[in-house]
Amino acid sequence: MHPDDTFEAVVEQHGPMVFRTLLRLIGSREHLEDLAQEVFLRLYRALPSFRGEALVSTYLYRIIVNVAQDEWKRRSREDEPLRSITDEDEGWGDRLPHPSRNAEEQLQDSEFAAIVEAHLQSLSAVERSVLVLYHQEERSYQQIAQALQMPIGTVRTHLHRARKKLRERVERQALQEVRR
Amino acid sequence: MINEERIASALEAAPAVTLPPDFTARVMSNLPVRAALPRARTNFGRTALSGSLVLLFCALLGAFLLNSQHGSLAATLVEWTSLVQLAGVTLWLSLRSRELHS
Repeated sequence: MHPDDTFEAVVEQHGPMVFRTLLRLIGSREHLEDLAQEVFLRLYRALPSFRGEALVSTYLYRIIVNVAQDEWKRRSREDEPLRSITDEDEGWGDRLPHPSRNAEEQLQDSEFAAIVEAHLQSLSAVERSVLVLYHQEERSYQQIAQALQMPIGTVRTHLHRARKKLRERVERQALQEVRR
Repeated sequence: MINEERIASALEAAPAVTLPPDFTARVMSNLPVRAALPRARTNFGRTALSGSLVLLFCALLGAFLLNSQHGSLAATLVEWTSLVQLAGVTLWLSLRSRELHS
């Protein structure tokens, strides 16, 4: 089999994961496809030195986080305001379908998800990465530690801090809305 | 108070993404052409083998001449040792050659 055939299979297999993780990390669909291409390009360039100690997916998570960090830096340089992924047309609010629940509850859920999403983007790069990899991607502490190249204890600390910050910020906003 | 589980479930819900249909093709078309690794052929092993065979043959010849003139035990020993070594190498090379061509 030609090596490019194998790489094509890797792109097919991991494409959806790359898109959804990048989307959650950068918080916008803008340039998403370009960034996903960049991820696979970096993977391709790194393949000759890939010695297979880690899974390709773990290696990919590391690249995704690096690409997202570069994008955050670029945006902060250009002072580009972050747009929530809920602004887009692609039904972010529809991702939790609860047929048994009424429309009001579903609306509350989608509003709550949008609030969480907005505050997720306000966290630091590493806190956001840890939260997304742990909750959305269901990676273990060890896999996150490998992907972010930090000790497991540091991952736990970041995760704990990120959850606390996120909860406090969401609560603060909820209180402000109640007072209005 | 905000329920922590509610935040966790909001985080766990992955955003809906749809990959562009031609995404894989576009990635593949943008990949850099990987230069073939330079693999210059070297003949170090073959040179060393040929040199050793010549040396061995010279040693055998020298031992044979010495033995025919003086007939010492040492010359006989060197002659037989060289002969056995040469026969061993010849046998090994012929077996290896058969392996490579089969």
